[in-house]
Amino acid sequence: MPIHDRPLLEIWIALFERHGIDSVLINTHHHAAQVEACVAQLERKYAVDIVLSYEKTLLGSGGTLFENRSFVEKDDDFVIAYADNLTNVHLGRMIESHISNQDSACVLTMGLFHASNPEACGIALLNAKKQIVDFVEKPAVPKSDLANAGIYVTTHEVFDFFPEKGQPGQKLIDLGHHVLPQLAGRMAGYEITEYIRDIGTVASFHAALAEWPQKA
Amino acid sequence: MDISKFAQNYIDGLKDVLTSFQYDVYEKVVHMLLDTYHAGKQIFVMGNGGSGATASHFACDINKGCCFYLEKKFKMICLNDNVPTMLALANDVSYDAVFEEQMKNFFNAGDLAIGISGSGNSENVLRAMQHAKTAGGRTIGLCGFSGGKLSQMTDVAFVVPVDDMQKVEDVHVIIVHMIMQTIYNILNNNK
Repeated sequence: MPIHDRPLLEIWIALFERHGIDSVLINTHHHAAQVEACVAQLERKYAVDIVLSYEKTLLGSGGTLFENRSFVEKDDDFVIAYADNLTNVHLGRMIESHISNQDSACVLTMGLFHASNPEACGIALLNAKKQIVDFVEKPAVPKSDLANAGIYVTTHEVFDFFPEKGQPGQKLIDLGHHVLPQLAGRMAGYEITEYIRDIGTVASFHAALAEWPQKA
Repeated sequence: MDISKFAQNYIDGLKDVLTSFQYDVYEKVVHMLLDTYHAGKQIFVMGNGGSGATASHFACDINKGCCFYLEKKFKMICLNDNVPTMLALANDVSYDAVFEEQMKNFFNAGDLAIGISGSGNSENVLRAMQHAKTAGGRTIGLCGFSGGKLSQMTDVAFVVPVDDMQKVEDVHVIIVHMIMQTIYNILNNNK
């Protein structure tokens, strides 16, 4: 997915490098060969180790995390990011915020942005300590406009909140539906003040091209 | 971490953004500073964080660097250098008002205001620029990324089109040094 002259994946890897994240796992499914070719070039260019994990049968966002939990077994904290976002979020500041949140038993810090269409997003309500006191997916009557940006910093403890594997009917584990609700009272919000846009639709992709810096 | 690779990527990114340097906008910025100098008017500059340091550096290089050997001086004031005033305004009014309120004290019609904001969306800078426009002054924005609100509201905006705030600030300092040398040469070679 090119953003002007750079693949979106390169923008992410450059962002990780800039903020000191030196090891990244990318989950692939559609167009896996294309991603592999792109990653081969990025690995040569950036000071980031990249591991590819091909998912033959989709497991859901939570299922993917659970399947690859050994990748982060030696890390106390790690970042989860949906790569269809275009952003220059200051990950370093977000990680610092997550670490300071751990004093209040926070397991996961969720990146939030002010949404113009909150009824179409996952909406968080924060208290004065920036703890998430309410989180609702696509609320009919939103209690705030702070929307889930699909970028999290979490401690390894998050895996304790995943549903038991092999539960009847539990084929896919979705982070938003099956895991985040289990974390009630253990999540904090981090307001992203930099640029962020989900470019999952043609219209938002074109909007992003107009907004993202382009060399003259 | 591969430190050398990181450094190489940083420098490559910086070189890349410098290849898109907007010479026509740069020329306009220099002319606006010179016009203000010749008219005997004042120049105000401001920013937050690294941009505040650039603003302070800018005023130093213009006030001393450009006209030390000249009788006629630049009158450039960096609004974030007045720390007690800024703290009083931040504490008693709001952080968004720290530059605008100082502009009310000093800014006159015909003066020039330069706002520096990497995101282009720093509220205190935007409010000062709005005051300058309302008071009959001219405005320049030094911004990054895609320019933000600052680039939309100023008479001239120099946007450094890159998604990395440190490289935006690097280029802003380069611009300050280029302006200093350009203006020094123009004024001192025509004495």
